[in-house]
Amino acid sequence: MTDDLELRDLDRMRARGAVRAVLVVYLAELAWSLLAAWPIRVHASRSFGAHPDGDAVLFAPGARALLEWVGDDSGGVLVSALPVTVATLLVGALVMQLPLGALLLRLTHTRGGIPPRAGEGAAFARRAFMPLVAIALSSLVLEGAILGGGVAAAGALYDRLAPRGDARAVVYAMTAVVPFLLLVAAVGVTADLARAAVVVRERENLGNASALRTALRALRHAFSGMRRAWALAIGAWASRWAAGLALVVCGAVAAAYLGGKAGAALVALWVAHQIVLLGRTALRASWLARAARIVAP
Amino acid sequence: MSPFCASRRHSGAVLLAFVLALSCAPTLPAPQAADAERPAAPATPTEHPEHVASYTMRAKLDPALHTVHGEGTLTWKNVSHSPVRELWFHLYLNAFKNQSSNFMRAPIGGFRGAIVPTDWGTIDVKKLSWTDGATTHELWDAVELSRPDDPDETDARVPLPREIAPGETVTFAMVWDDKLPQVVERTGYDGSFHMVGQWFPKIAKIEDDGRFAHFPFHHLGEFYADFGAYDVTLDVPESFTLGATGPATESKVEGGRRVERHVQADVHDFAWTAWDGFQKRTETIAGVTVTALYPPGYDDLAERELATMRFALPHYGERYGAYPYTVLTLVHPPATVPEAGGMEYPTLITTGSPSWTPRGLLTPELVTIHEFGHQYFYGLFASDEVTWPFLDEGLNSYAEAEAMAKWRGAGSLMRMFDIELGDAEGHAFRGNMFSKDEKVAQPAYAFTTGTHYGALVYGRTSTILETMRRVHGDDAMRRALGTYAKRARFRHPRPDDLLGAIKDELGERAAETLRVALMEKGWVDYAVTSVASAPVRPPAGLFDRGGKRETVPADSGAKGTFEGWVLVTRRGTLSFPVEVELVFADGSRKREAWDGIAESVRLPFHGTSPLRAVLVDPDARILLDEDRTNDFATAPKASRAGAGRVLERATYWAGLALGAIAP
Repeated sequence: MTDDLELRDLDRMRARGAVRAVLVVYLAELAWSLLAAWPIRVHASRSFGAHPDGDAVLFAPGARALLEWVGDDSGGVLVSALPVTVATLLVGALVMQLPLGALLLRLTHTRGGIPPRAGEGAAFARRAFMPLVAIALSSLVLEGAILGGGVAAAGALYDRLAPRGDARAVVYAMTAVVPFLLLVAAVGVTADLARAAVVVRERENLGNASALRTALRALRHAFSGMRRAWALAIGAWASRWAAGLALVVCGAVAAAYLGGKAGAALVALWVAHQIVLLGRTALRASWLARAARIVAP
Repeated sequence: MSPFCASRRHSGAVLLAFVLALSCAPTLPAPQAADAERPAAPATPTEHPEHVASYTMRAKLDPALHTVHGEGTLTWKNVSHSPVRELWFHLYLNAFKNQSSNFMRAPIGGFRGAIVPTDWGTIDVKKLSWTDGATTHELWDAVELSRPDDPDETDARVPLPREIAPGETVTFAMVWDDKLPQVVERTGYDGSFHMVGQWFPKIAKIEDDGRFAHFPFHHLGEFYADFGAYDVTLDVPESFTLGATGPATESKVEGGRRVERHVQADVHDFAWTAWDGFQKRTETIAGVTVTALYPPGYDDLAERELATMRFALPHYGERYGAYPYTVLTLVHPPATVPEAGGMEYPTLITTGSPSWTPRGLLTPELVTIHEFGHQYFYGLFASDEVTWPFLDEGLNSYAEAEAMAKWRGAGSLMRMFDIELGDAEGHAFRGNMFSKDEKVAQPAYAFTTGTHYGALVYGRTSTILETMRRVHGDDAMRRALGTYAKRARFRHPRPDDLLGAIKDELGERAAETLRVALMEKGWVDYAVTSVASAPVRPPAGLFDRGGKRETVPADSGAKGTFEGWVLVTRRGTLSFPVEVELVFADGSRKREAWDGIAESVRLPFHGTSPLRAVLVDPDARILLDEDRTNDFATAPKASRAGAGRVLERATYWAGLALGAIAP
């Protein structure tokens, strides 16, 4: 396609320059998370909403109510609500490619120093949707296969070593998974480079070629980027992944102090957890901007 | 035995299991008859049991062939009131001889031990002789290993050439060879690890009426035996470390062999283990020498298990009487044989849990404390584990949950992910699921599935007793079970002994509640049936006052006070005193006590604030309550507390999941 949008200067591809787009992605994910969580909330409300303390009983010491709520195989949350939540999340994984596409355009393109309009972002997201979905599905399948292989290899190793009756067999088996995890990470990084390539390399061709062909070309750009700058890519991704993990730990600490309470504590926990999610979205945007710089022409 | 140590399997052949269990019944003792004939246990504690069956044995292990050659003597006293014309011996290892054994035939899934061994095990008795005066009788020549209608060879009958009179003591010489199986349940080998339990010809327990309490070894059944003194010399390769019942009184190494003599009186079984991989730690706790044997790399777990004993030895001593032996050995089997873990023998227990078990997951502590508890509920009390499994596994599960809660608080099973999961609550969850299927107080072989056995014997019994503890108070329950423990020590207690102790300490109603819960599938469910709350108004309608007829409308004259009532229903066959908490709109709360005997109670209230909600059993004392979701209600027109916490947490987790799968 032809328009007057142009790639930003590489050193201007920054998440901090796309705060509004990051917020849009976060809000989209929040909305979908609420949608996914709703069946669980309904189940909890039906079970314990009439309790004087509401669902606080699920967080009570001893956790008897929680056990029954989760473990009842005839009507517990695992069988009644969780499948719907999981299905919603899986659909969401595809739907979220739309705000991701808009974010990628906002991170990487400009018109004379002015960001693309929201409508342009939405239009691009629609055009890039299928290639992004193709990349997402292929990377998820590949990552799953690698993880499965890792688990199988670790299991086989454990079976061989365990007859020695040595706890080290567990350590060896867990160590054996590490290369597979690194491979999964590499696949993920490559897939992110491909996503970035869809916008910085293939934007002009979107609509002219099939989604699969576009995705394959983006993947070629990603492999090329990985060959050129694998250490830079891995390092940039890993630093942000570690920061995201630290945020999750902070969220767990917040839950330990504020969990199970009502009123202000519940609001505070909600805010703390949403800060974690927003922070992770921002870190992800930061990494995608870096990925775009790597695969940019 | 702990149900935690091994994987659980499920069988769909429940009906077949039931039919087979019934077909086995004639070969098993009749508990009701035995109960009726037996006098009540005396109230005075007994410091030492009468030695009825004492063994002096020598055992030599061949770790390459996984065989044990044994020989020795059994000194046995007829303590019954009748002469004995035959003997019965348990040959437990023959349960693993082939798939015709009672153990292997039982289509019982849902519990540990449902594995077909990759290497079979047997016990072959070569000789059982009795030198009676100048005559030596070769008794084994006349042995009846199995019955015509049952090929099982775990329950052997040995006719005698003459009667053994009441009070007479005789000595038998024995020679036998064991082939240990690949560990199936409790006993066997794995590589060079050997766990040797149920390994010698063991005379069945004699009852007062002269009958032997003999039975084939069933998948779900455990053991029952007379007390005695054991003097056992074990002979293993020099590189092997030994653990066994009783202290080692002699130890030497000669000719590349390690020879240890273990002597222990006042016990009713002897087990041992040998492995060239054991690490060893020894510590004196409350005057008892506690030895931990564990695989390499399990130092952290060994410390956790020893820490458990630092709490458990004094705690159980204070609750159930002093531990009377000088030694205790904790055996943590290698990771490849979890089926050898979670088992109890006198002064020796096997523990379990993977080496990487996180500190927030308390299964190592739980299994250790459970198996140690069996030193009382099996070891010192020696109840019939086959006929009344709830008396050992059930009471012991209660003791385990009580001790774990005392030691580790509300998160006595798990304290992770902002969740405190209690052991007692875990028992309640499991036990209540099957409360209406089968009764708790029945023989092990009568349970239709291993799942029912595990849930009812372990979980339900524990939940019944924990409910009684929470209702009657910790002190009262401690007195009741303390009394039972005093009376039961070395006395082979029966259910009536437990009911008697509960009646003496907690009263008639508590004893009857316990009886119904154990023996009649008793259950209870408290429910808030309806709630009414409204402003106080003068009665509406037509009133003749002062010669005039007045009409008072229905919505007139509200005084700012409120009244109403709560209807609470008790369903089921059990009853407990229970509290009902009224929660008002201004945040105040008020509790009303109800004796819980009637099928329902209507509790009126009158106050300055409307009723917002009501809650039965606010302190969650009635763990037996079948359905906690009907224990509360919100008044009509009052706002529900809702599920904001769940929405918050679920949204957060969904957000994290979405971020992971939707890059």
